[in-house]
Amino acid sequence: MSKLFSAEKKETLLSEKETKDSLSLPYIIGTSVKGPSHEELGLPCQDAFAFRILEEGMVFIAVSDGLGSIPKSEIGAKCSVESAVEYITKNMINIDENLKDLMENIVSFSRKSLENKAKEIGCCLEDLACTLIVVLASKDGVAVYHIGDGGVVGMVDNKLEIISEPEELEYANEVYPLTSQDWKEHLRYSELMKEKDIKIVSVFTDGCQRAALQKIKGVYKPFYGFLSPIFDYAKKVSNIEEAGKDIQDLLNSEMLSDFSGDDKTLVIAILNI
Amino acid sequence: MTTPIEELKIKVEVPPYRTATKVPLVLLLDVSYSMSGNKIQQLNEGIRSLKESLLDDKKGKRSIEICIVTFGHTVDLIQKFTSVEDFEPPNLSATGDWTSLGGGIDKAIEVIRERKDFLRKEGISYYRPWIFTITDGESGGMDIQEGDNKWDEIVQKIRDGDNEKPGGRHFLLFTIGVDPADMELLKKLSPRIFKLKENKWKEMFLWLSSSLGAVSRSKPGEQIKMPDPLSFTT
Repeated sequence: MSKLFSAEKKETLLSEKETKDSLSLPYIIGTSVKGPSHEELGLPCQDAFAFRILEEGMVFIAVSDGLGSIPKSEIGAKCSVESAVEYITKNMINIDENLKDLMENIVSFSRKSLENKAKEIGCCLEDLACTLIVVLASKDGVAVYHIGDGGVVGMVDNKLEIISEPEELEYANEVYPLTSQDWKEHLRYSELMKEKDIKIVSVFTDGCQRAALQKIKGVYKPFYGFLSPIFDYAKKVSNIEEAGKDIQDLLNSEMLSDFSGDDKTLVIAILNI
Repeated sequence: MTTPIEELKIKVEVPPYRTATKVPLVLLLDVSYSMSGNKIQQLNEGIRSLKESLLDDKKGKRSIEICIVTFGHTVDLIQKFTSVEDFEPPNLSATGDWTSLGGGIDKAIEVIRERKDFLRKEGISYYRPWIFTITDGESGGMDIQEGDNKWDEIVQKIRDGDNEKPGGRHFLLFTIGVDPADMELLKKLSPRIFKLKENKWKEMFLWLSSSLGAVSRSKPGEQIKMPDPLSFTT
């Protein structure tokens, strides 16, 4: 079994705050905005994301979308991404071992955390229904575990490439969340191998999905008109905080709000120039 | 000089207009002789009002597609799936001394299956289709009698297609019983059954229009908030 990541192990764990000032590679810009339809209905933003810059060159990203009409789903989304980051932080030592197993353990840990959270706040597991995408990436490789909608697109060999698609179910308003009984059957693993040149990886929820992906004759393709300018912008960023605000501004713009009333989350990791 | 974000906003595009997600609706209508007079008139007016209210629904009018199957002595596909805008409300008349309800349900299930095949082939996404049946049928003049083979076959087809199990969930069947429909009998066939209150046809079609509109706006994983059917039923 080949190693995906060639980075040497270091014990240093870089926090988001430290990397903001230096902007050495890799760096990550991430934001979530509440969708206008959620504003109208008085709902909170039900998207959540979290990330960690790990050992040299490696990043971990978790993105989650709480299901629309479910009352506490925003708690589920937050819990699932935070627990995913908690797990990888404590288990970095295992990164060079079976990657797929490690990634599956992250998802299992997130699900377990949702079960515990439900008990803690006195609700059913279903009340915390949310999707989850977890990504481990470096310029040498990407591994993704994905349940539900949203997606992962990378700049690979100087082209946009879909690394993980939304789950395809028969009806447009259906999704299998992490909290469902048969979640394991709907969990999908994707990997990009080492010979690819991976410059950027982006992860997004379904609020951005229809802009980032286009369905042509039933097949998903990345939409250059949306992602290309955003990637170009992200490559030139010198201040992470400002960049986060700029992307927020973009996601809140009239064009994107008209296009989709949903909550929108977009996380962009610049891995290599 | 433009800032990076201003430049970004100018450059970013969204994909061009794509076909809206479809809500296929089959109106399965009893046109047997017992429906003649006031009932068939109200039915025709109701269908016209359905089109009007759907046209007022910005999202709904792009999503909902209407098909009409009538059943009386024969079963007829009188309107293939069409958009709300292109839909021409028919002028139905009630004839025939028989009520081919079983045949009608069979036909409705078949047209839905064909429509899904078509939409999948074209890469157009869809929501779970509706079969909305309106009948004043009594068991006396129906093509299916409780206990006979055809009855059992239809009951099984409905159970197979309208359930929440994986592999099921092909459509949602709603049945409206118009006086003097045998409601006990219809309950044995259809999972969702409503008795139409006298002269509440318009209210019923308004409920149908609002419900379909809610489906067309529903997001993944969302529970659809349907309007209260008490406006037209008990």
